[in-house]
Amino acid sequence: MRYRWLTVIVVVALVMGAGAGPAPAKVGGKAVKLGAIYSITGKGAEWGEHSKIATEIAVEEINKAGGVGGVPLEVIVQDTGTEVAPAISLARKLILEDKVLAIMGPCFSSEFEALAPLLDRLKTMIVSQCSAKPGISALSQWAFRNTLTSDKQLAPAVEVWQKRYSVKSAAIIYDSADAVSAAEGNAVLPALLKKSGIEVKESLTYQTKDIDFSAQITRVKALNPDGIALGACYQQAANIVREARKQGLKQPFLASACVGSPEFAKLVAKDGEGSIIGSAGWPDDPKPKTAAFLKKFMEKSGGKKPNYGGMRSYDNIYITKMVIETGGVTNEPKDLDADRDRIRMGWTKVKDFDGITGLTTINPERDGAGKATVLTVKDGQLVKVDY
Amino acid sequence: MLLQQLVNGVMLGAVYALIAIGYTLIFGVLGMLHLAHGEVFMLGAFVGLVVVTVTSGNVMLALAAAMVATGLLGVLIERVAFRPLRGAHHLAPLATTIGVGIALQETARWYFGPEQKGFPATIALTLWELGPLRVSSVQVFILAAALVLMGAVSLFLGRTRAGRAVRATAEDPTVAGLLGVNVNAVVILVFFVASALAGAAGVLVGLAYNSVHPFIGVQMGIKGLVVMLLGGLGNVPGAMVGGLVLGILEVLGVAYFASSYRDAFAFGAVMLMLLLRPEGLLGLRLPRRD
Amino acid sequence: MIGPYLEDVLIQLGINLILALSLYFPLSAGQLSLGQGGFMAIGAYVASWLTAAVGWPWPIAFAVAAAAAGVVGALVGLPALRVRGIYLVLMTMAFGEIVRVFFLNFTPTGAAQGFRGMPFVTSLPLVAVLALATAVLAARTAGSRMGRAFAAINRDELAAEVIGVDVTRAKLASFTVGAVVAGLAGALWAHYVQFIEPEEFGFARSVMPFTFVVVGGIETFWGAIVGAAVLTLLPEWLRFLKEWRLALYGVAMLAVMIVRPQGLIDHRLVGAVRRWLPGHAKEVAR
Repeated sequence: MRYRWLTVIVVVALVMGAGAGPAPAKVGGKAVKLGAIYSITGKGAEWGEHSKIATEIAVEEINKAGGVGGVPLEVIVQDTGTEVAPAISLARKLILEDKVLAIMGPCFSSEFEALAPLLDRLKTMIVSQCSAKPGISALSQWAFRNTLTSDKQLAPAVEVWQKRYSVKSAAIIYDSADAVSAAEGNAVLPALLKKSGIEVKESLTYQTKDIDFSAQITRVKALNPDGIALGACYQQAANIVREARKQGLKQPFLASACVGSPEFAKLVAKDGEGSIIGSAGWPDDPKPKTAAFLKKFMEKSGGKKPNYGGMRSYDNIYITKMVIETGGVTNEPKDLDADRDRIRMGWTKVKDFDGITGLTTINPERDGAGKATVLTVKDGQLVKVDY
Repeated sequence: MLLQQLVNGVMLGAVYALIAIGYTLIFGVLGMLHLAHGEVFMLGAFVGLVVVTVTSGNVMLALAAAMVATGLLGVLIERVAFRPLRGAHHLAPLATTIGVGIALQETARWYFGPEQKGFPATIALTLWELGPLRVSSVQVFILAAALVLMGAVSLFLGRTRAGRAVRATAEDPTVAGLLGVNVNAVVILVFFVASALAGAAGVLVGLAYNSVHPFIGVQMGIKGLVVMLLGGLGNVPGAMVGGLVLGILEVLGVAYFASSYRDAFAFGAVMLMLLLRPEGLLGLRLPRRD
Repeated sequence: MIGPYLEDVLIQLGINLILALSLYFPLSAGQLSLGQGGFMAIGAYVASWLTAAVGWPWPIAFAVAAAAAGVVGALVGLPALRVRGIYLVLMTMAFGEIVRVFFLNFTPTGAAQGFRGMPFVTSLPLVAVLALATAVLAARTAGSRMGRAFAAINRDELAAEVIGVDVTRAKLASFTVGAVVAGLAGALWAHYVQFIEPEEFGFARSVMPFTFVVVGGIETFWGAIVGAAVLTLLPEWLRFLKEWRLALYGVAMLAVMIVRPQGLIDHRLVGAVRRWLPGHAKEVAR
């Protein structure tokens, strides 16, 4: 009888303990250090800049809410200048000198590809927020991409496009000087279009730095397809669309995520109304998480809306946080190698993570998998299309 | 369709010509390449963008503002990157202008952001159909503006005292100086005119294409050099003809050959020109500057 | 021993040094080439294809690649004999662009997709040895008969011919050697980053050795070495400036050229250093 209250306490404690589930290994250390290599200057500046701003937002939020497992989060951001050699030396610096647990970025497929052999030697993972060239995550088990490759972006978009506009024939215009666009134009689009029963009348090319597309459009005019598919980034796509409308073409356009930047909608306005874009994130998503992020991003960036690289890097920070907290990472110096491997393992298991770009899953090839976001241009804005 | 392609090419060529005239004027007078000329063009486009946005579509004002702004920028560049190196090795200004170009690109990126921008759609655009041709009012404006500017430059060089002074300096600065020409003033004037033309080209490109961003100067700069070569170094009418030729060739090249090899053809042609006819298409011999 | 980041920077410095010297050879004979990027591309792609696709050991691959670049160098050097000054600059620019476009379309080495699969070969010791060897080659050349021929041509080609210099042979030689060295730099680069694409070797790449040499000093080969060192390290030192880094880099280039148009190193400086070094006092007396 005397010990009844003790029994009660013990039972209650056990019940509470059991209900709480297996306690994750305590994250220790003074700060959880992650690295980030973004292309903040140079020709890829807008992707790196948006990624940097988004990362800063994520870090602020996380630290305000107590950090990662109670420990403050620090992300060391480095600028590659959109060059391959700095990507390599900065990655090595972050891994070997700063001893980061994992690296966010790089955005560009060429930087990503160049890093792959290095990662096997240094055994630290990278996760890209933008690279869309199919197949390159296979190069190293430490190479991850939380974004959809071109084929996954375009597959649902082609179907939506075909159905909406009854497209039976198409012309493809693509950038033959850019790896991702060339892959889209040469392989991805022809295959997907064929699958949807669309006849490819002709494929026309241009070079990345071109600004004048009058020749290509004049040719398309003569072919008179039902639709025009693009393997391009928004800078050139905006001009292609504008030129087409100028020459009197009314065909609908189809493109992938590199075109799905808010800047595209602004540049094409009415001309691009109704274009279908297979993308990896919708900045104007009214979902509370995304809307809150958009608001903070616009404040920090001086009114700009984020491209999908920015959105995905925000998610990547949060996913890494989750992986660290549930993966037994101790953040003790002696466990550095083991921790890095734990984070890698954790990332391979990511399934249906609810981020601002939708549900994220990492597939066995270490690429992002999940539903692509199909967007359309409406009234100068990007709007989601349900399918 | 061929006719349409030709029209496209002429319009593109007119823009190239404006930039090339600047290069060739500077080369004619100083014997040096101005490798930041493309960035002057880029800043002209941005100035035009700002003015057009602020005044809701006043293109003429944008042109004027851009020309004045870039003209002054050109004079500043001359003072900073060329003047201190007079008499030094002739390769030195190549390096200084590369440095200036990088600095201008990065400043533009910082101030305007790296995203690509287009002129606002508030500019009225009417399309005219002349038989099989489709021409827009913007295209006509651009062609007209380019022709007016080129005409003005020709008149200036051919009919005014200042223009004669420029030509004299281009032929031989020492003799010109001895004959009473204020060579320094001529150089400043040349830089102003050359840069103003590049600035105008920037506004016209901004009008025609949705392509204003801090790095448009790089490609345009290279094209300008090619045109300058086609027309003959230091040869202003040559630059005009060369611009049109390159514009038409590029458009036809894309239309009838794969665009991926287009640049190779262009540069192959450049190499041939250099070997066979270095004085350019118009064949006016100019004093060789080594 | 050396931190890994510093190691990377030094490897890149070494490659840049070799690239800068590759420009020095033709430049010392009065030929400014803005097409070294093209020769670098040839060296990179040939070496990479040989090690990755054919499986040859890297020393042979590198040698073949450099030789291939040299052959192309001689082929380009022939028409280059006929043009001078700015015209030569433009011609070499055109050449560089043609090479870039070629590889952009050449599917066996990946075209626009780029090429990978090369082993990692370019360690710091290797680069250091090759950079040193190239520098020694430049030094020996400068003092040799051929080097004096270059200098004579550089000063006054016509006069050189008059006094009996075989101008054709000398110019061709300087151009070819420059191409071989650039090809070597390309092979080293490819086996450092282990992934190459045509854009890497465009005009920007050709401009690099030019800025190294002009800022470092065109009068002696030391200029190429110092210029490569300073301009490779400068962006790294400036990293604390974050996004202002590149802008400051441009301004720095401008400033150096204004203050010292002949470049950082010139004959006077080399002479002064020589006199200051013990053991060279005798030379002054001559």
